Amino acid sequence: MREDKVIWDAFRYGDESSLKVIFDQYYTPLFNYGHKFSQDDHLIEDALQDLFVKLWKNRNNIKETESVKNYLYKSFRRVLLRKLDVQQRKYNFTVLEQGLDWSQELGYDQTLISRERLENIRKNLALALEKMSPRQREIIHLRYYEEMEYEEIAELMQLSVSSTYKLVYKAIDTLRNHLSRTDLLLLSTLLSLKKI
Amino acid sequence: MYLITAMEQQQDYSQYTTTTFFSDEQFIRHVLNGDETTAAYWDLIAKQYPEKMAVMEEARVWILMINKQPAYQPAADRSALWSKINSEISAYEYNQQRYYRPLKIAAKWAGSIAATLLLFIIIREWAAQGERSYSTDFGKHEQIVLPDESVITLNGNSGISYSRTWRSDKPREIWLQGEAFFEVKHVAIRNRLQQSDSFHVHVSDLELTVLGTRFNVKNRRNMTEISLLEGRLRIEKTGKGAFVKTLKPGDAFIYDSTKQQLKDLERKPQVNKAWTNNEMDLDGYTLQEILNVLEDTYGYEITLKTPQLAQRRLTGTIPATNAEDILFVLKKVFNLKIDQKGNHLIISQN
Repeated sequence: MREDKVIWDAFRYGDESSLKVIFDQYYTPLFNYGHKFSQDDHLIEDALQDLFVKLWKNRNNIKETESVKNYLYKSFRRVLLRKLDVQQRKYNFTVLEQGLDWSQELGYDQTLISRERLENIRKNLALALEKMSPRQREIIHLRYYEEMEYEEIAELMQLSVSSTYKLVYKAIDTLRNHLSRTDLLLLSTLLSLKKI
Repeated sequence: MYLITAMEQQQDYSQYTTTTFFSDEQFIRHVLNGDETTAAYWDLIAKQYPEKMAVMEEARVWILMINKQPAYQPAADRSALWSKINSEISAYEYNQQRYYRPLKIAAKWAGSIAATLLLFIIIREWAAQGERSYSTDFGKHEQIVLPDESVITLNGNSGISYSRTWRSDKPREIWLQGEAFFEVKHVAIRNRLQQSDSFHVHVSDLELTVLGTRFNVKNRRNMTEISLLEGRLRIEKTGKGAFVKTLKPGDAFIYDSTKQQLKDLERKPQVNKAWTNNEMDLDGYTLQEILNVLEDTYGYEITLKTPQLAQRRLTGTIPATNAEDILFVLKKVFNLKIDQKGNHLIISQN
């Protein structure tokens, strides 16, 4: 991440090509993050454009940063949420994409778990995630996908670290509650199948 | 290291379910960034809790399912978006160069110009300190309100000047040339008369001292007429032929500065202030005196060809908005012949 910082500093001193490097590097991750909030690509593009133009205009007031990624995510999140708010769209957050071939993604093709079992697990997870609040889903995404630490998540989402933890516990609770029911459901169907 | 610390504080995993594994930080770290040591540890746990193998596996799949999701690939074009950003930045920079920076420079210039101007004004004010003066042309009146709200009405061809810095601890002072009617504001607190409450008029070589009063002062041809309508007024002459005279309302005096002599004035104060209403009260005026007024206040040059007319008198009030009114009346009443050549009037008996 040292390189990140060098480029960031060059950009802050007015090097536009450095901004381009940052743009190229973070285009896909930011688009992906934005896609979790909204499936409207145009909206995400607008937010990205606003973000980078704003970065350029304010470059003299932008400070050094520990993490360029966290800075960009935080700024992008703010721009995007404002746009969503203006359009009066709900803050929603999706964690799992449907229609993915999970066995391929996870490299589980010929291993312990069958495709059917994988699909079952995915359904369970998707259902459990759906029961969560958007903020809980976002935390799950940031922790498991972006692999951020709780301190970083708190900073990004403008929460205290303790309330970030609380949100996670609640999320896990939701998962647990939901899962126990589906497990029971699964068990009972299995039992009923056996009877036949 | 991981193995040892984890082993030392080894959890009781007997109650673990998919969700507990899913949210266990050690487990997450192992699944996402594991190495041989972490693998060894969790293999050990799996052997210790064989019944947990299924939920462990499920938790691992959950973590990986979220983690390994391929990034969303938008149909949008990245380079097209960058050109948009780039052109917006360019437009912004252009405006900065073209408008904003010149404006900033202009603002800087305007600032220094304003500063210079301000300095200039301050210097001028400083230089003009102490003196403010007003004067009138022939045949014109002007009303001046002084800083203490006293009002002075200036007759034609007259002027006053006064010190601009009227402080409450100093007497108010005015210098007069020509004729003016004063309505002086009374500023003294009852029974606490102070030197600073007085109002001084310097005219000719006299000093008039008043409090709140109304009076007329006329200073023409080395003669000073002082007519008091209200209040008290003290005439003071210092130096050669010094005297002090205190006037009551209704008093009118005339002072001859060549002879340094103060005499009663025949004309009454009310008559002497008639000009402030654009009238001329003829009571007590000789024709010569009226002609003097026409010269002093209205700017004519008059030659009286028939000297015996000079001491003639008449009574009544005539409008005096302009000199023509006065001349018209005089012409009719005294049956005069008036030849006018510009400002010069030659008057004779018809």
